[in-house]
Amino acid sequence: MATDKKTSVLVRSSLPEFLDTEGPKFQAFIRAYYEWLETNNQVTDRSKNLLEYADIDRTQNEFIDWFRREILADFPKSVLADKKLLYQRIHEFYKSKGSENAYKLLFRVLYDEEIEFYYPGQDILKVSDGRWVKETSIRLAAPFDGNLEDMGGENITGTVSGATAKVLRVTSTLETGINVFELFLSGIAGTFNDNERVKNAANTLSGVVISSTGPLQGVVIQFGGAKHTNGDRVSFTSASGTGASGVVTGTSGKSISPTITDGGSGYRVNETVVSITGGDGSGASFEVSAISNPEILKTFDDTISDLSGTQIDANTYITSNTGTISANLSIANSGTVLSAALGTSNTIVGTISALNSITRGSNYTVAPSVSAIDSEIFDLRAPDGAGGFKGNNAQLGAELVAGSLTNVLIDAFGSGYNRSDLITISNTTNPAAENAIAAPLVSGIVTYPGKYTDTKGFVSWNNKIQDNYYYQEFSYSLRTTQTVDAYREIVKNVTHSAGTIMFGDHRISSNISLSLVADSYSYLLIDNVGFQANTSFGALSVEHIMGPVGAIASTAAFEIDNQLNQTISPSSIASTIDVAVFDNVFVVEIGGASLISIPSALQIGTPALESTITLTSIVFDDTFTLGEFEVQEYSSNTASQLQSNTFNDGITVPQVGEPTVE
Amino acid sequence: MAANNALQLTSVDFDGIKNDLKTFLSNQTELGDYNYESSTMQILLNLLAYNTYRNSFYLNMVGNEMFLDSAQIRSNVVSKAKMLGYTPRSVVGPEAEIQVTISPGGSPSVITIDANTVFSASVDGRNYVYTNPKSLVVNANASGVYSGKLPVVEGRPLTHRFTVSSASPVRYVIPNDNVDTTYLTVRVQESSSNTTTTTWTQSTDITGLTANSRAYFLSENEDGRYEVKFGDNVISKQVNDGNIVLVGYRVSTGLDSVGANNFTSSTTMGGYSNYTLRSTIASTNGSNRETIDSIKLNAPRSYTAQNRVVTAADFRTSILSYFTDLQAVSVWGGEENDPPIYGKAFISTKPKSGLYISDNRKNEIKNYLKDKTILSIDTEVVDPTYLYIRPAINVTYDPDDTTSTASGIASGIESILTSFETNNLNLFGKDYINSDLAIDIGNVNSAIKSTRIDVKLEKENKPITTTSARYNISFNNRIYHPHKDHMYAVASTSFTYQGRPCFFDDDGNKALRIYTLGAGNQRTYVNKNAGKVDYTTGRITIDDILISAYEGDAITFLVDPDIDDIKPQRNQIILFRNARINVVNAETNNLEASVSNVTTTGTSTTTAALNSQSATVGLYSAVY
Repeated sequence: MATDKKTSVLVRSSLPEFLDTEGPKFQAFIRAYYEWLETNNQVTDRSKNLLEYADIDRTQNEFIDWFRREILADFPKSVLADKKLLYQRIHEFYKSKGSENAYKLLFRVLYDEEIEFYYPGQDILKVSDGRWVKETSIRLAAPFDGNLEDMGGENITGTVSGATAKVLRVTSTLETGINVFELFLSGIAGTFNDNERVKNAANTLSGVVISSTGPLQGVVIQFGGAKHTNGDRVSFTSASGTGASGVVTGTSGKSISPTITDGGSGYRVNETVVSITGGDGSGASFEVSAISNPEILKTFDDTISDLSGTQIDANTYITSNTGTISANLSIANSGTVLSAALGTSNTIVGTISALNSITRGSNYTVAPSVSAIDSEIFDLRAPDGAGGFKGNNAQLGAELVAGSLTNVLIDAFGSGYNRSDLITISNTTNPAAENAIAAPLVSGIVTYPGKYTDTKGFVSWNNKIQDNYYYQEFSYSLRTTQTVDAYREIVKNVTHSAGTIMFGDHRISSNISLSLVADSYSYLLIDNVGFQANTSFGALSVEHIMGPVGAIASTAAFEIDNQLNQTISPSSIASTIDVAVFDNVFVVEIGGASLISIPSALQIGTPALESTITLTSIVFDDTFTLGEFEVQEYSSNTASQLQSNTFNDGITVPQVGEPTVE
Repeated sequence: MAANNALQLTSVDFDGIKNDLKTFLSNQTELGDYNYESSTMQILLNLLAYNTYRNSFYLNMVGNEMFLDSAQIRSNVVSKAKMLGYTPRSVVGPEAEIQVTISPGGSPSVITIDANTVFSASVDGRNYVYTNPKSLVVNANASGVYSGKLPVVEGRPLTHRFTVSSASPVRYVIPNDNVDTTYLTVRVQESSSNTTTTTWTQSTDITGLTANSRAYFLSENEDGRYEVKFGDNVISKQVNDGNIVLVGYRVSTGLDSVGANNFTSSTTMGGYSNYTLRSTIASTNGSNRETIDSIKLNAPRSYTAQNRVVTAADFRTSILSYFTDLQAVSVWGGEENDPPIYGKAFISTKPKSGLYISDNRKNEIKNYLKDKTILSIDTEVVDPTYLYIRPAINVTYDPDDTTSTASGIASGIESILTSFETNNLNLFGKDYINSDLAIDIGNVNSAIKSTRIDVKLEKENKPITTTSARYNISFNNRIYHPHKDHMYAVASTSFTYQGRPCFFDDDGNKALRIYTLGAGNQRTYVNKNAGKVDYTTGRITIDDILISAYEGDAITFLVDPDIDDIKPQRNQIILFRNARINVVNAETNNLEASVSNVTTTGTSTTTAALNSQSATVGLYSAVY
């Protein structure tokens, strides 16, 4: 920059005046000398601008490196960031050295790129590393004061109990038409009561503890059922609530199950009374549920007590329950046999073939006696041919059955259980087990069963064994599109913490954006001809956004395992976009059909709909070297034309448009 | 000034300047008719060009002083460093320890030796003053002897007073050169009438200060002297009118008196004149004030560290700037260690005097780093290990081309070896480049026609003689092993195994063997699988064996390197040892001079090195 602070203009006034007339050439000579000194990069020019050179804001590019030597000694000369700004603010980077922000800034400065971090130590399996929490909540319903969504962070008090707590978070639900706010608490002092009003410290927010319905926190077993075993999973249902489940934690005593030695004869299902006597337990109740060997038992059904002393041919009018007796007693019928004269009916009876346990009782160690009598039939004293009478000749019994449920642990509380509805406990592990019956324990103060907040500490899960290299506490991995060799030394010198080990996940990221013509069937093909043939793919993730211009129709993101020739079952992808790696050809398809079954199902594109697909990233591991790859868009007027092509090298389908790869 | 460190604002080529000027003038309309080759014009052009040349020269000098890396004047370097928050290190007086034994002639309960008692010691015929910074209370032992160890520091303690006056403000500049700021004390007396004093502390981090913090700031001023500054009741407390600032310090001679061990005193000790003095630790840890080059190197590093220690470079800069007695520091993260130990940073130091620092000094380094390192990173200070190169130098010379004798040439080569070791090796990270040494040797005398240097590597291990143990000996350089079955890549000095004098060698297939020598030097193997040899990494692993004795100070392992350029790793330092020089007459092919076992740092310091190392030998000896 030539200086504006001219010395040459002072030459004339600095020289003796007589030179104006006697030595104008000399004056001009001297002035020219000073003008020469003021030209670019000459002494005067340089000296007048010396202070500017030392000012980072005003200095020239040739001096920038001298600033770098002072304050960015470990940075490379070439950075993408504005050097003047960087040099002025670099101390802030140094103060955060070793932090994620420092790494991020470094990569922005060097490569204008955002990086991601992964800490393998987070996924190491550790002893006792499971995060177990046990939450307590209080459920409030109307009448409300204020919006209870704002209860988070408030200190609350029970207006009756005086109990206090701090609200951590609030959820709201609509249960059978009732708006319920559930406040999750910490620092509980005292015990909140059901049905009391709970308010915040400012008394601006309040609600009433609802106890009529809610999660099922416990049950009182009334009938234990049978054949349950500790550890069996059970579900809890009632007329109102669902979703609760638990595990059998206790069975005690024995229940009984009916046995049939001889079903006898002359029994009816609904009229037979089954009696259980003896034994040392209680509560069992059986009923006949089926009969076999049906027979018709003919019985006189006229009441004959009114005929006492009546002459049979006297034409006496008698009101009969069948209405036939009067006629039968007429003179005209005086020769009729009595059995024909009286009214009869047919009753179907049979052999007891099945007994049902209404309840199996409990605490039996000695089996009781069981008998069954159909009194009406027995009263007929109809001989059974074996010395007995029908309706009371069955030989029944009971056998002891283990597994009467006494305790369950509810580990999922479900919702909507009304405290007045009995609970049926069904064994989901053993469907042959007989249901138990229980009364629900429902309260507005809920102490949830504990749970793990993540999979830390889970053996045989997604955790890794420490290998003292990658999977250990002092390793970290940078995910970037740069190769590790490009930045390893810079990172090490500038921000890497000594004692830790750095890895690099090579993220190959390309933004590909193109519009597909509305009236054609199209697909986008990325032919990885430049990929190293013997390199396996790392985790490959693809994110798409597609849809008509101006509106995103759907999004999807999924991963493909690190293998070539990877195939994906179309049914596993709930998206209108399918992705496949097919013979070294990576294909992103627009449309809902499968590329795997080429060509039969190659239905691509939606005519009359202009769509945009964006492939935001392809991520490989750091051993992968990316070469050049081709991006091609193919379109055809019909699906069948497109389907007729193959994906081999030398593909000859027409190329439409010029896709852009950034 | 190194070429790449010079900033050039304008040309200082006289002819170029003159030509440029001539061209410019001749292009001016009113001056274009002149004959610029005439003698008169030449005189004028020469005059103006010379004036321009001088101005250019001065301008370049000024321009170079604008930037830290190009500045040459100390005050400018210090000024630029000051802007980076860096205070150059002062001279540091060496420290020593004296055993003082007093015979009081009675039985006093205790004897107190006052602080700043003056002792003197001479080095190279010059006397130096040592004083004790703290008083020492001496008790009688069971035998009634009053004896204690007294730490002393070289330098004369002085105090300077400044009266604070806003009307006539003064700069609190310590009016002496060679001030040792290690023992700088700043106290503020309320006034001349109120003698209440408070001690102020030096600030190294203003973020921890408040407006009431009694802190002072230290910097080097334009005259190379140290200046104390105070706060403004915003950053820290300021001093008020009438206060008297008392600055205590030492004036030291730095490294000059290192090694002093003959202490005397002309004063009484605790009031008793009958006493004896014995040096228990010769003076060490001193240093001269920081040089310009050192400031240029360390100031940017200090700025990047921002008083934090994260990268290996941060460790080095921070330790070197604080521990002035260290010549070099090597730092590597546990991820680079062998075997890797994550979560730990390893530090190895080489003091300016001696080979190792004391365990106390190691602990001081660890403690110093505690507040600066990332919380989860531990530190470990380890001794340097020495890798010895045994060079066999064979030169031929033409006696017709020199008046020197073969012995004279050999002597010259000896000097080159010594200086090469001092200047090119003997520090962390200094590679041995065989061709560089050959070039230096070739320059000893123009009559030298050829130079051949064969090198072997030596490493020593001092085994435990009382119990069996495993050992690793790491050369960290590939061992010459051209093919499978190539035996004897490893050799050793003698040691006792199973009651017999034995040696190590290898079978050419990675197995380490132990043998005895019989008649005719026949090798009889007593253990054919005593360990492993990794020819690629240069590591020898000895399995669990008992070595009950050994020849000399340690067992020496000897290998041929695969290539003659040797690279030290981590805390390794390369030295020469057992060098041999042969000078052959190129005409007669006769060996005319031969020198064996040339005295180098490697030969003269070996014993001390081994003795110090022995304390660290464990189940595994030094691995690094």
